[in-house]
Amino acid sequence: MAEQIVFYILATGVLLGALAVVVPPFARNPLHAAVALLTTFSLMAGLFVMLSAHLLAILQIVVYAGAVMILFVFAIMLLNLRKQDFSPAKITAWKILGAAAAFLIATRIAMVAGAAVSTHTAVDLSLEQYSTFGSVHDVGIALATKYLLPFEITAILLLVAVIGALVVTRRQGGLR
Amino acid sequence: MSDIIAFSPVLLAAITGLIVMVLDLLSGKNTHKGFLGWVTAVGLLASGTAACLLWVGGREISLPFMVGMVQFDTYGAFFVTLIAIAGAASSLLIVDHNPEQGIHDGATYPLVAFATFGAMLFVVATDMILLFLGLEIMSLALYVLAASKQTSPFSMEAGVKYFLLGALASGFFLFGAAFLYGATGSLDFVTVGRTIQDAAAHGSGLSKVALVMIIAALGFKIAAVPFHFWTPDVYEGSPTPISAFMAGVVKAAGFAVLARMMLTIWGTAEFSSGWQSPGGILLILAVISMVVGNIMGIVQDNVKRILAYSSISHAGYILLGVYAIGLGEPGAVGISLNSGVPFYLLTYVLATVGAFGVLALMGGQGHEDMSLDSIAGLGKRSPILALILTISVLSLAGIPPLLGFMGKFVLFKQVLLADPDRNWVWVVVAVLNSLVALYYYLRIVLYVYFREPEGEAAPIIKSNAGLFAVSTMAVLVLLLGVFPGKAIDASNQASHHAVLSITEAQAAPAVQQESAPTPEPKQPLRLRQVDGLKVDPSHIPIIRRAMELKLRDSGPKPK
Repeated sequence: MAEQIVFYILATGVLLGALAVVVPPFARNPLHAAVALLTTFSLMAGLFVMLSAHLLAILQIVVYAGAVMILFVFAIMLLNLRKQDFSPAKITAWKILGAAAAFLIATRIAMVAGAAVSTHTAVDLSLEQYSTFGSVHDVGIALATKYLLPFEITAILLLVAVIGALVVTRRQGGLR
Repeated sequence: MSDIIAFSPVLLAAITGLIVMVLDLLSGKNTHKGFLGWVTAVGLLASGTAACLLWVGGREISLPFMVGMVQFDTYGAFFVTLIAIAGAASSLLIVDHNPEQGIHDGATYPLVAFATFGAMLFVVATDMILLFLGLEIMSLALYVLAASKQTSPFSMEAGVKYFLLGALASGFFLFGAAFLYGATGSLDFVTVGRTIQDAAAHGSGLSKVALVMIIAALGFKIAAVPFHFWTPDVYEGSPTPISAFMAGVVKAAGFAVLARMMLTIWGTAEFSSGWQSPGGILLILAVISMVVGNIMGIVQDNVKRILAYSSISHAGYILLGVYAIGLGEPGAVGISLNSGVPFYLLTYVLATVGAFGVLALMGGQGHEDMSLDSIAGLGKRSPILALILTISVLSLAGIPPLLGFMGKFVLFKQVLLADPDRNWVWVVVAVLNSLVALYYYLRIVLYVYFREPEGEAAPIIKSNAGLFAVSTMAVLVLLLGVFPGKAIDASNQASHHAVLSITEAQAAPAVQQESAPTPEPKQPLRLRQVDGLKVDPSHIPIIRRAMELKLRDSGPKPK
């Protein structure tokens, strides 16, 4: 029971934080939106802990709530936007349609997911076989055996990202 | 070792990227980077050749250590070859196009090679993690390539647009994959498909949500209506060789994966019955893609935009092919991919790369505007380019004796054969659409030969590499159009393996799940039946063991 209460608190926080990132009036200021995103990231880590995915929880804090957020804040700071740079929020027909569609899809998915969950019997996560599956040891074993190929190919993805960042940012000189 | 051999075509593309990257660094800042384009092309063609050799040579392919991750069969070989050809052509087009446009960055070549690698990986992957990695490698490189002309606001706009919408599409794909994992507890297509097709899970809400999400994500990559809004702007704004790459490689890869995922995971005999079936959704997309693509194509005045809408309408024709599955053919559940689809993609890719290629060679001195006016009179200024453009465009329109006609003919015939009673309507719609499309294709030809340029004519680039690439495309379109037999055979073989069938090793869980009725637990080894690609009998115990381990890891959690 206590677990459920914690879960609902965390889940509500995650959803509210995610909403605050994009929905005005909170999202009018980029820095406020960034803080809302930070809330979402941190509470998400709590959800991971509840699923006994400890490594993921730590990574969520270190990488997303830490490194990525700092980059966001730096970018916002360097852009140096002032109040007058923001156009006042306008409610257009497209936005209303989009919000309605998003609401419909979200409720539909929630219903479907709820129906799917109710047909499954609850799994006790405190069982021994589940308690270690998110540990560093188990994730490491999985990465080095079953998911070795994706793990290695991620290296190329990162390489592409680095080259891409260079191409986009560096001044084009060369032959002129 | 056999793993490496079977994976070598894909690996070669990655190695090409690495080599080109190092060569770019070694060659110094002030050299002309054009030779890198040749190196890239040679490397990618080597990769395509390796794929052909694996196929033709009937080499025994087994993937004991990659089982469930990668499947390299005739289907994979067909698309890897096609992707390699289109990728090589694009990199050759860059050689002289980029310097004329003021892009002197050698880093574009490794990005092209890596994007091709990503597309190949995307096609041969059968595990959703690996699939996603392939998708991201391809997309990430393309976002950058689309924006690689930094002096042009159009190119920047194309890059940003493609990035934002592409990231959204990737999000949809991840969402879909997550729902599939939630519904089945597995990530590889075959296991996911088995679980979903079992009576209990079939038609369950989660798999439906996943279906819609994945169609949306892949629909973005193949530019099907209504996920097409980015296409004209991005094709127009990107440097033209990159537009060729997107229209050729990305579309081929997207369709290869779409067809394989749809048919393996949701491919029951009721695949295309009713509007709410997976096939029904594809059919709706197919019809509106054809109609919207062609009607919007008529009102365009920019050749790149015309070709973009043409590519949207072609997505419609191909989706029609994916909708009309072949019944009673080999495959786990008695269905197979329509054998016209791979062949049609071949015809489309060769012609569209050729057409965009000619436009790329008309972008001299930083000229960006590709309006119909600026290509007017090309027939007098450069008869060769005019001829190649005409061949490509008429092939896209489907004029005999060019390859495009054979593609349409075979595809529509197969669609009709799949279900003559119902599908004739859609074939009629498709043929009418081809007639409408004729208008804007002929308009290009008209401007090329019979109009004089009113404003500034697009300056032609003298480029051996580019001319070699586009003339190869045109020659292939002509030759294969007259002698299509081999290509159709290849397409037939490829389409037979589009649906990942259940090997004996994968049939093992059927014994464990007594609850599920298994109509064919005693299926003979599928892989053995594949001509040319046989499993080494000594590897069967290994495969079985690997599958058992895999199922133990990823199977549904015990209650």
